Amino acid sequence: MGAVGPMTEAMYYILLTLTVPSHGYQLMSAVTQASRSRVRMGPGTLYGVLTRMETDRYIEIVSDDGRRKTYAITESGRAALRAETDRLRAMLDDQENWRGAKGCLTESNGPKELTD
Amino acid sequence: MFDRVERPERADGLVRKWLPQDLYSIDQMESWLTDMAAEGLFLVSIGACFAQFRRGGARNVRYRIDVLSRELTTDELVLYDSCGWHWVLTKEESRIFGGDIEFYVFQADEDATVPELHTDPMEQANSLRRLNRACILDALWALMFVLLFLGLSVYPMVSFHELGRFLLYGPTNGGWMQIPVWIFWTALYTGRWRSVRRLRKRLLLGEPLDHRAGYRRRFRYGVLRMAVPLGLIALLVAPLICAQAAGGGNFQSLLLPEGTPDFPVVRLTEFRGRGVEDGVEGETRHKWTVAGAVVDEIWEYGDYEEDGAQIELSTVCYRLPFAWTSTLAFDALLDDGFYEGIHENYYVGEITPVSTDLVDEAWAAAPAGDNGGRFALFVRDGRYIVQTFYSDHTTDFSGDPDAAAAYRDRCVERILPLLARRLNG
Repeated sequence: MGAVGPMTEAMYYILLTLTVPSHGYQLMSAVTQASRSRVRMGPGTLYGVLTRMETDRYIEIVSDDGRRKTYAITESGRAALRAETDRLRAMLDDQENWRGAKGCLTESNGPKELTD
Repeated sequence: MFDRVERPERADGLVRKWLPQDLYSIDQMESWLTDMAAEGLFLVSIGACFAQFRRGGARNVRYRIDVLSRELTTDELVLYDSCGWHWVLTKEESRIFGGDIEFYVFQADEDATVPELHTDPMEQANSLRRLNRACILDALWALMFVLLFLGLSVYPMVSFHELGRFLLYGPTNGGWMQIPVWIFWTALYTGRWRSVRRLRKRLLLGEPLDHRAGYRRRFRYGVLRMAVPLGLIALLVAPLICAQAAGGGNFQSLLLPEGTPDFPVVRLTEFRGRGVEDGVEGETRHKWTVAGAVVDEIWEYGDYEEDGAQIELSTVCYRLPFAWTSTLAFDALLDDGFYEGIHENYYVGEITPVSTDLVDEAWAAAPAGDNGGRFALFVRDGRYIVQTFYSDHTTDFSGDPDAAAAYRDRCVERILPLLARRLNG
């Protein structure tokens, strides 16, 4: 099992989209769709991640007819995805709740001084 | 089905180019292949030192190298192709440990709107992790073999005796021959590891590879890297060759009917006069050792016409590169007390020092049962070491050591002055 920690964007989206079993081409389209065209994954990245996650048992091959492999997420993959989603959500919550953070990410506002 | 890039049906017309780097320097190789395509040369195959190209119309092409731990299936190659990346070739690196590594080379037209092969530097860094580990393992294995063969070769020479034997005979085991081979592999694997580490470092910082990385300086550096060890070897060998060449004409060649061996030797007819029946027969041998010694041998035999006795004279001359090494080598020779002749091997037996001013050092052995009834003379003078063996098969000294000693002294008196004159000639 690979080290559990922050995931790369590619890894996150592949795990997310493999909640629906897919083969390579479907997966690439699904990633683009899930990320609303923000993430366009190259085939080298796609197969690099798939090979690694298969070794780490986050995904598995559910069908292989010799030409085409269909992948699906495993239980440990789901757990890793949940953990990463929670981590990202917690980060967003932290950002929203931090007292000096309100409006700090808009371009018009400069750095704010903290006041008690 | 996918379109593999166009390949020539015949080998004629293929252009062969020396590889500036191997595939482990991914960015530089990609850059070089792109430059080749701009000159109208398109990759067909990659070997250990050369790449083959087919000629075509010059155009801007992007090349990318993908490193995988398994073979891609047809379906996967179709996906690469549908993304605009056409498969050019696969080069498999087989490994004893850690499984094979596959280098896939793809190409895409520069002008086409084709997304990059790798869109995530961190993931590409991960894909190179296994390659990095394999390179470290390879370098460690090679280094281990260097140390092993170095140990096997050096360990026996911890004694002066073995060092002297090395000076005379060169390496006595095959380990020496292996050392340069494994140093070469260590340097190669370390270079690959450094390349992969450099690429990973960049990728882990979130920077994509520089697909137009400069390779010319590195190419020159690669040539230099090959030239330096070769130059060092030449520098190490040159003094030995020069020292040997400088001393080449220091002794007289003997004008005898049966040949003129070019080394200081006393011939059978000189020693026993010209009364040898039906002439003298024999053989000579000439060789170099890795330690730089030149070894000349001559073995002569004949029947002496006065009494019909079969007589035999053998001489081995070692010309060492430097005079200061001769003492050590001479001591080893005397300690060994063993003669490996052209046709026969035998022990020398008990030897005694000879008091003389003619040469630097001389020892002699009287004929006895344990040396096959042979007289032996060992001489060291400057950088020369000469062993002379004489036997007269009709003379039996067993049981009479005094007669044997007297015979030894007579032989010394006749051979040593002749030999000394030749050595000092």
